[in-house]
Amino acid sequence: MHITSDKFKSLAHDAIHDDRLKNGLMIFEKFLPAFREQVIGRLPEFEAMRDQARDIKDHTLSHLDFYLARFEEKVLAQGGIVHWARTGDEANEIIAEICRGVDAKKVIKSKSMVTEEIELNPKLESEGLEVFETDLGEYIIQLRDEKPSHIVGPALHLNVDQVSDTFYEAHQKYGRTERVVEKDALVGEARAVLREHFKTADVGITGANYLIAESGTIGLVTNEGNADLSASLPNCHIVVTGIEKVVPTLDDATLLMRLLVRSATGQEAANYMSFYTGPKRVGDADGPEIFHVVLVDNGRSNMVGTEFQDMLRCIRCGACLNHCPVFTSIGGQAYGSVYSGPMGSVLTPALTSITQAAHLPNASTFCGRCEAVCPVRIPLPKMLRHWREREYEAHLIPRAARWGVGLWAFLAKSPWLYRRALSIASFGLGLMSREDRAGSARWVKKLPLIGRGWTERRDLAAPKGGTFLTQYARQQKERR
Amino acid sequence: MSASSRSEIFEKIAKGRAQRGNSFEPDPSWRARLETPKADIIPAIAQTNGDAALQRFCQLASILSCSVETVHDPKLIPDQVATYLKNQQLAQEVWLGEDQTVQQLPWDKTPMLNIRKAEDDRDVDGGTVVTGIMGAVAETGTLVLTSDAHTRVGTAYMPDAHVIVVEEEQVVGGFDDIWDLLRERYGVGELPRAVNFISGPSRTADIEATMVLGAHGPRAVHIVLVSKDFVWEAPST
Repeated sequence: MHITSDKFKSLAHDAIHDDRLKNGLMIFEKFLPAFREQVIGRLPEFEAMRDQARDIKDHTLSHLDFYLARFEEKVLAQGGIVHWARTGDEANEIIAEICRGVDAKKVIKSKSMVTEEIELNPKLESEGLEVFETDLGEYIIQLRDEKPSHIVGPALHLNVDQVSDTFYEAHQKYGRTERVVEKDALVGEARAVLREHFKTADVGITGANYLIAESGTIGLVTNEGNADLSASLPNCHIVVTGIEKVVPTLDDATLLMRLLVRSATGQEAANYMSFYTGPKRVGDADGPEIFHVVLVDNGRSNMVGTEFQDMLRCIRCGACLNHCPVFTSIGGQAYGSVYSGPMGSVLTPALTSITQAAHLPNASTFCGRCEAVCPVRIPLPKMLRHWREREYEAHLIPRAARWGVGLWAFLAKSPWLYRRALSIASFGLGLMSREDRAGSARWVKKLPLIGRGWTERRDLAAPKGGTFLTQYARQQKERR
Repeated sequence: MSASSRSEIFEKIAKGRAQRGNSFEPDPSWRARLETPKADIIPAIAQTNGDAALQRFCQLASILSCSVETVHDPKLIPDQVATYLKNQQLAQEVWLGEDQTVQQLPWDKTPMLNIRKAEDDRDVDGGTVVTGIMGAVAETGTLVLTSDAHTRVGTAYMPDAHVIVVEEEQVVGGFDDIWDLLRERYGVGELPRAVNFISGPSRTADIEATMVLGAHGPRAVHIVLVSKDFVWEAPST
């Protein structure tokens, strides 16, 4: 997993000033939360279901090896093949090997964040394979050679004009030389182009929203129908997903499904919620004869048993992104990781290292909305704090910040000095400030040194009437 | 490669698990839960039955942009399909599913309809497919398809229009009821290769979050509900 999170500050700065992002960010900030709110209003059991989902995921993660072994056993019994990959590279090699084994030339893919994480497409392309993303959003960003900006809506940072430009350029080779600008027509064009690839692909790759131990089944939730075409037409179906996706029963998967669709897009049901168990059976009318499941660890097993285990409950709904004031200001690509927003800021350092992703745990105001909306109640702010502690321990905090915190700690340990410093500071601010017209407050228009940035866009109210302690002392004296 | 990777992953999980004092030795209750699974919380919206379930099914399917009609006598279905195709300005040609529900209908009484049989899922690209169904869910207006010798799963995704014949006994309250039915039919821990819950025509909102129907799957889903007494009346708009 390659990340560019070390550039977070400059990417975030650019994103804030990029007007083209505004429309997409408004969709995440306003529309999706409103849709979610509306469907939850029709489901009085929602809170109880969240508790139950949390408990089921906790139980499964606490005995992950038991449930994975059971899942594997059931897949094998149906004639499927299960692969275990310690790293992204190992997963990519396994998948490439399967493709070589069936002499594949063309691969169609439905949306899978794990394949984004392990960077599967470049690997397959280096093997000479043609790889087509078929989820419309993923297809658009594949053509533009971009990373997803949101785990659910990967291309929502783009405007229709940008999509139109992309298709105009990319579809010339299919003889589509006229520029298409309407959304319906753009969808229709992608449908027509990808339909031919569906019909001629040798391998279909999908992710999985859950793995079901009861029956060795994988569950997929989509709206477009591309995952099911990928799982039906080619003779070889490869499922790629993380080891944490396993749940005990079909009922548990159903519980998560009910929470997922509401939390992600505010739907009561996604268009296509599909369950696949092994390859085509003897006598079946259709279906792939070859069925592989590639289970990817890539850092997940390191989280088991640690203070980050709860993150493995995540069902990738994206609600924490949509409700995050940082995400909805800068969008997903600024995070430099395919996992963005609060869940990405916790997961990315776990899957890479805190050294590489040091900025991400700081991309939070700790407002707590992410935890409040998480369908499986992941304590995201608490885990971001854990990462900040690690970051501090690893001396990854910039020198100025460490120096500032160190100075504050020194003063705070000596109450006498602390009070002295406060009095001097408030005296100084008093000198720098001017009374406003109403005469009710004093404002500092321009701070020197490190305070300069703070007063660039707003004024600082100067303290008046002394500190709490001096006021308290005065009051005590008067009472006597 | 795979054997050593597997054991390494399992060792790491075991190490982490032990840190929290959790055991691998399964408690009998976990196995019992896998052998005799029970539903989790079933929301009230998933617990309708009888006419209330039929009403909810039709209503929610309509909201999902399905067209819905009820019919008392299944013999009338071929005629109604012909009318539907005419109204939608679609070709008078249908690819029939191999399932009993559809095969037993008197298609020969509707000579203007060109009846076709798919040899491959790709045959139905752009056409109209008529099939039966394994079940239907009132909770969300959802249709349930399962793979078998007479069901081509791919033909639910390739055509432009999918006409689905639903018998009233097939409509259940919630998803949970479908699992019960399948466990009864195939045994606990066993499923057909594909169990597909279909909720309306294919759609996408990937360009500026504007909903567009007909992303990769059917652009239209038409439901014909066969019921002795129940009549669905679409609310006038």
